[in-house]
Amino acid sequence: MLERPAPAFRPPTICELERAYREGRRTPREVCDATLAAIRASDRDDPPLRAVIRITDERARSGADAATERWGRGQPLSPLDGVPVLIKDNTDVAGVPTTNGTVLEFPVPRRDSAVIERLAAAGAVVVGKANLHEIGAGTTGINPHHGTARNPHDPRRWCGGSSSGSASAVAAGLVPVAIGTDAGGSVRAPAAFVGAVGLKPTFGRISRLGMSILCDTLDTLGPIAHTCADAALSLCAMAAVCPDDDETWDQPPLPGHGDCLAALGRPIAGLRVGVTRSLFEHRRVDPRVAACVSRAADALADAGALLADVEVPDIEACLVIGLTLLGAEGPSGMEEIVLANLSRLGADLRVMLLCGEHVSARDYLRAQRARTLVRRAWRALFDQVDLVLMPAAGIPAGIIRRDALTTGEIDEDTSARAIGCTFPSNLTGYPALSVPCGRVEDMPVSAQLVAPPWQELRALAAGAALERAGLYRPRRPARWYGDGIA
Amino acid sequence: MAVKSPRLAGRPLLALARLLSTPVAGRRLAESLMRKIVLDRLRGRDLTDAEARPVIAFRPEPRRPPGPGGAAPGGTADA
Repeated sequence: MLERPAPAFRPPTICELERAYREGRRTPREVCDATLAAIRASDRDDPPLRAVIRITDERARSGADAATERWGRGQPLSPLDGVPVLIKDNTDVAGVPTTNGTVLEFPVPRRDSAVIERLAAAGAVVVGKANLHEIGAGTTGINPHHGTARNPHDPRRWCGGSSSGSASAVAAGLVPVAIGTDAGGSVRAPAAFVGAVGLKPTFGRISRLGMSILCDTLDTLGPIAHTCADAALSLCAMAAVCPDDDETWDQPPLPGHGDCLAALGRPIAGLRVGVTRSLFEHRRVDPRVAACVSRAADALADAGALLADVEVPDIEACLVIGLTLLGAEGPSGMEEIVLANLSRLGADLRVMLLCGEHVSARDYLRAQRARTLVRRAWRALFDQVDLVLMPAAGIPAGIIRRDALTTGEIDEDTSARAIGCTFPSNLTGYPALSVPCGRVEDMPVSAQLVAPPWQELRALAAGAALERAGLYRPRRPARWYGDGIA
Repeated sequence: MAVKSPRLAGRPLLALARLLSTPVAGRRLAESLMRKIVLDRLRGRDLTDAEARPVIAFRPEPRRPPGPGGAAPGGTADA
């Protein structure tokens, strides 16, 4: 008798939950209860997953009950109505302490952050706060205070940072989408390390009111999800002109949910994609990662995209500029409390902040001038091409060193490899998307698609084409908790 | 093989963090580390291009919030 092949592993998505709610197969309350139980179970295993710092039971259950009632009436607020989400614990949820991944006492916020207000207005159910690298300043997610979020594909490895918990939670099936923040690659790199999709939207697309900003001119909120479609739906929910936040005023509106999804389904024939082949041989990019990204370029060509080799500004120079800005600006929105309590931070953070004090005003302005040249070069690139394809993280996720769990860790080379290719889009403010495109050491690795300002959907459409090409076939991770959720 | 404790610039991280917290020697070391890792490379860059103005937005007048329905692309409330 022929053995039937095992069905392909498909993690639960927003789109599937919406269908289940619409067809009455599941209710938001059932899904919420399953999610809360799964989060707790994930921390009972050895080692604990530590994706979530705090569970918001009461808010989650009342939000889920309201969503259940709306779906029952056939009047959902959006495709996200009743969908459980996690938010990185550097972004405010009313009445819940924002730890910023530290043990410091920040004032308990009295109101939701702007992004949580948007998600709540779409009906999303906030189930908790996700773990992060302390104050969002690190590339591994190793956190001596709250435990280190483990990579569900191999719990001996880190998830990357700083949105480590958001990435870990999505990959482990705890939630279909989690919100992270990205000042140098902190959404895209962790997403890449766990085989998820990570989107850093254009600077100014999503309001940062109520977020603890690490670096004023670099930081952006963005979703981590299983698919480009889910990232698009999340973006639609979160992006908006916010009357109280002039950073958001210049954005053109996004189309509605249905049109966004339709845009992702369209062919990409004729799309001009610049391929950064010189980065494939860069010392910060593992050749095996480069080979996967090169296959992604071939897949885009097979789908009808027109490829052209392009040169992007030197990523080493971008790192130097970015680190100078981080040194001078950071920890922007947490400065008073963090700098007054240096001794209570992890050793890695103390070293970083004490070194950062030596960036002079002249250095800062010099970095901002150099940044202008980088922005100019990227702007010129988009006269020739519609998108740029490059690696996301230059390496697969690394093994956690036992002693780093208590002290934290800074490793210059690992950090440069993790975020060397992602930092340029924080300097330009342009949108960038990481999409899984293969495996190295049996761990996921991703390509990155960079688009001109406000063209997130263009990157997502190309990302969806890569998903259809099947370069990365999701597998059930070693640590998986999503069975009861979809 | 013994696993080395986390290090930066060849120094154990924990010891380095303690040392950097000391008033004089620590400050001097922090400055030299920052220069070695980042600033020397920044200061060595050619920035003679007069168009390379710093990315800092200065506006002589505060902006006005967008009207109902949001701002037009690049527009303002009265665009």
